[in-house]
Amino acid sequence: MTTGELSDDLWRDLAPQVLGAVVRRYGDFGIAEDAVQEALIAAATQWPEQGLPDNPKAWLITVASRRFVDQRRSDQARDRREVDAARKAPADELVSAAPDAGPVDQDDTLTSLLLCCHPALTPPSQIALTLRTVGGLTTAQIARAFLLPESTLAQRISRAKASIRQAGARFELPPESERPERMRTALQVLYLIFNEGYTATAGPELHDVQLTREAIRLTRQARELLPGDGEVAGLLALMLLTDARRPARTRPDGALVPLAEQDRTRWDRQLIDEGVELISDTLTWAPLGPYQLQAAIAAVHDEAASSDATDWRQILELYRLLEHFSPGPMVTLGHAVAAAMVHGPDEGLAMLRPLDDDRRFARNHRLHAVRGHLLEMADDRSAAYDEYDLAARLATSIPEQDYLRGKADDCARDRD
Amino acid sequence: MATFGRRNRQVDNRVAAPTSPVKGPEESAHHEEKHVKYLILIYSNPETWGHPSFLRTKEGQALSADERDALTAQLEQLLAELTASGELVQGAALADPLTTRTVRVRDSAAVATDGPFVETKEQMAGLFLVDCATPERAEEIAARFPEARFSAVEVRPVMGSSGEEM
Repeated sequence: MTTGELSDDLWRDLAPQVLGAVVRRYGDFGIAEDAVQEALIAAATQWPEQGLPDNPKAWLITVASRRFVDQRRSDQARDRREVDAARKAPADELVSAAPDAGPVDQDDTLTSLLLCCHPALTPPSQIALTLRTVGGLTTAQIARAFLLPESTLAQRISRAKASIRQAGARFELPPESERPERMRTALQVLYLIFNEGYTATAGPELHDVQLTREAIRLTRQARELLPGDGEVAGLLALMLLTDARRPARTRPDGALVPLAEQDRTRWDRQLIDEGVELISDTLTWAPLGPYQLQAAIAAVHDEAASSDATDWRQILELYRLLEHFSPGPMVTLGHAVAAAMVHGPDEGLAMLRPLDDDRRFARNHRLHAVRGHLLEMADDRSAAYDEYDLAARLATSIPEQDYLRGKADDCARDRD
Repeated sequence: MATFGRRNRQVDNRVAAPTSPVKGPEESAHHEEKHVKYLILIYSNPETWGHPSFLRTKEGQALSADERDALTAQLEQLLAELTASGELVQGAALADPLTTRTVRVRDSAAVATDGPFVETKEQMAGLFLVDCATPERAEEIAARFPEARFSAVEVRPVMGSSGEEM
């Protein structure tokens, strides 16, 4: 589906507002969500041919309402009669018939986000439903972005809606007291979407949906709705500062370039400037949180002219705080690297030791990759080889495995 | 542009007396949680081929009708659950190993022979590709295939083409 000529799909911002209008009139979130999806698909095929209607939102509400009525009446989810009828009608005729052409509450976007990220849903369902309902993407687009069959994605969406129904959740903002916790889950979902795209080296650039860009777009929306939430700002800054390094992160053949070896002239200065300004400002007023700290760490990296010029003392301090706010083995890995850079590899290696007791994490390739790196710093090539070798064998990503295999080979050469 | 270092001093001031730890995004912090696809391989005895294979083995044949029905229901329920949860990506039952052709190229010439590459007591009978959140979940799914009771079910992570920054 190509809709590129329509101002970068900005019209997809309307999806949750159209949904809000339809749900308020007809009540059933599940059917309404399907109806909005049909309307968006109709828009994506018709608008490039016929031009944007004068009032895109009213057009979408009209088509979605017809679709809703039709769906409930015929009880045939795949029946496309109403959409076909809408396709034949001139866009303005539909708009003039739109009863809900008035202003729609901006809160609908926030309501949709919090409903899609309802804690009763599993993370995969939260992600799929958020991208469709808040992001206005089609099931097919989401499936392609995740390299999954459309039927699998469709199941996740219907599962998500069933969970919402069972939990008795409604299309309304949760009570004020529950909102911070619900918002935390929503941020986690946005971050997962970002990571799915961020870690990809092959594929997604060829697809029509770029998940990192989509996650940034949705997080920007969240920030507009909640300008006083420091963690929303922190997450947005983290995404911008991480995405800024994308052009330098892989070689043309898809091989990974570690942070220390990246060509920093290829980093996106505009994203860095925006991210640094955002996190610097946020830290002056917001209560501290894990996303702000991760953004602050990314900012220190991104502002260093070279790897050697990195302010590791500051990074170490930020990791110490992050361990306090959000303890976990992955945070400890970053903390250990920072400690090694400031106090020497032995200090970092000592911090890694307790992670061996975590049975599951002991099989995580990144633990062994970091230990290999620190042993290399300590000039113990033989032990570094063993760790890199184990890390390569545990990795389930081909570029990561290639990179770790290369590090192991380097150590083996030096050892001989 | 203001350097980050100068601004950051304010962080240290505010957290001098930390409050109780806040539940953070531990699962997602630093790209931790990634969905991985797992290939679940069902093995069975080639002497009693047929699907579902657990009903054809000697052990399966020896069960009471009730037990056999219960195992069939167990499999049906598992597949229905995996479909509904959006974890099932693909599944297939394989033909009798007798129909396997093993192809080798030697001196630039392809030679095909009848039968499997490795002759073993158990042969692969079917496969399922699932997309799930944790290795524990993949193992849990594997344990619910009836063949896990009679022969064995193997779980193998599928390599991805995406890489994280090192």
